[in-house]
Amino acid sequence: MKIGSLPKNGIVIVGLPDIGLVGAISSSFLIKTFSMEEVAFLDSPKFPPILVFHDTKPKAPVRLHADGDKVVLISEVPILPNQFTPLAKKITSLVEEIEAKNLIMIGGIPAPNRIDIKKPKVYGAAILEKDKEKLKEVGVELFKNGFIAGVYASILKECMKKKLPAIILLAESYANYPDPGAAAAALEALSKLLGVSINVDPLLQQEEEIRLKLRELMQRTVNSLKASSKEYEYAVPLMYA
Amino acid sequence: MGEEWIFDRIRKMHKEIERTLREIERELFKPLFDFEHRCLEPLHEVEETPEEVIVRVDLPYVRKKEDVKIVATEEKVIIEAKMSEKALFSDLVTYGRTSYHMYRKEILLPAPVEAKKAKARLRGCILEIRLPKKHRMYRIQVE
Repeated sequence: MKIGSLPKNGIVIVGLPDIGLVGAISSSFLIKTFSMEEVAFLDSPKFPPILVFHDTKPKAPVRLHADGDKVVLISEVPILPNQFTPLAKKITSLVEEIEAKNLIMIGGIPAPNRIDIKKPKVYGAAILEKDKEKLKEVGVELFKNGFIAGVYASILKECMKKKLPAIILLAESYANYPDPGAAAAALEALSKLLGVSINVDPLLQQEEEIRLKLRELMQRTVNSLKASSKEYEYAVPLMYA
Repeated sequence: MGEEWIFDRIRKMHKEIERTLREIERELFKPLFDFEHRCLEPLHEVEETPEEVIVRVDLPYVRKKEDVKIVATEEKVIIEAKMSEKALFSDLVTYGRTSYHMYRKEILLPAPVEAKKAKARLRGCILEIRLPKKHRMYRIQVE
């Protein structure tokens, strides 16, 4: 990875395959919308032997794209549990090296009544108090009680240890189907947080196509989530009682 | 002679585990389309309550209930649905560089159901089928 090609003091946005593929859909949309250039890729012997071709160009499935001071991390494959910690360490060392202003993760939180929800609500959590204030200022409700499990929990834990300015945006989502509507809600919250206009209409117009074409990634992600303690997100924490 | 039944039981359990693993493997590596019949396989989930088995299927591009055909027995449901628009995979060699306009899915149920009493609804391209269980649970009063 060429750290030199990444903007100093930028914002790192992470959108990985997780609940409802909210993060993956969001990062893919940001890269396409802002024509973000690929600046680096991440590789590891623990990653599956996969290469992806886009318009004849070979690409690694886990990549960093950048535009101005924004960096987006995208993965076109599910992150397996044995890759969580190494990936979390790599991301946090990257955040430290470029002295990023914020690391913002985008994900979904399973809502059992998602079918009845027209506009999914977005919850936010942050490591530092100043970022919690920032979330409140832009009207994002704080995630008060509950578990966060999976790859984002590993990244947040590393950020907690190093006191890094990490934020996570979690949109109410379908657990087992790709949810572009939830991604649109999360991107609207991101737009307020960054003070940058993001038009999510094209994402909503393509909703059915995205749901249909991301079935395989969703199925593989659900299988990997089963092995990553994701069921904890449905549990009530001990201290809540 | 005394311990033979234990080994017999272990052999049977071993066979059962192998069969389950083979099924999981087949399910994991099976493509989500049937090129021969130009059918896509939709994502689905099955939920079980004490009274019902609830099947939910994601059917993007299926907008009219008339385009959905559901057949059910005590053990399984078969769903066929026609899309309002064709899904194009013209750049994807593995999908046969063609278009698909149907979904088909056969789902094995976790408990026997009374198929005749099942109800279904289509909302936002998500099909929900509620199938009452054949062996329902009854509340017993504590005296």
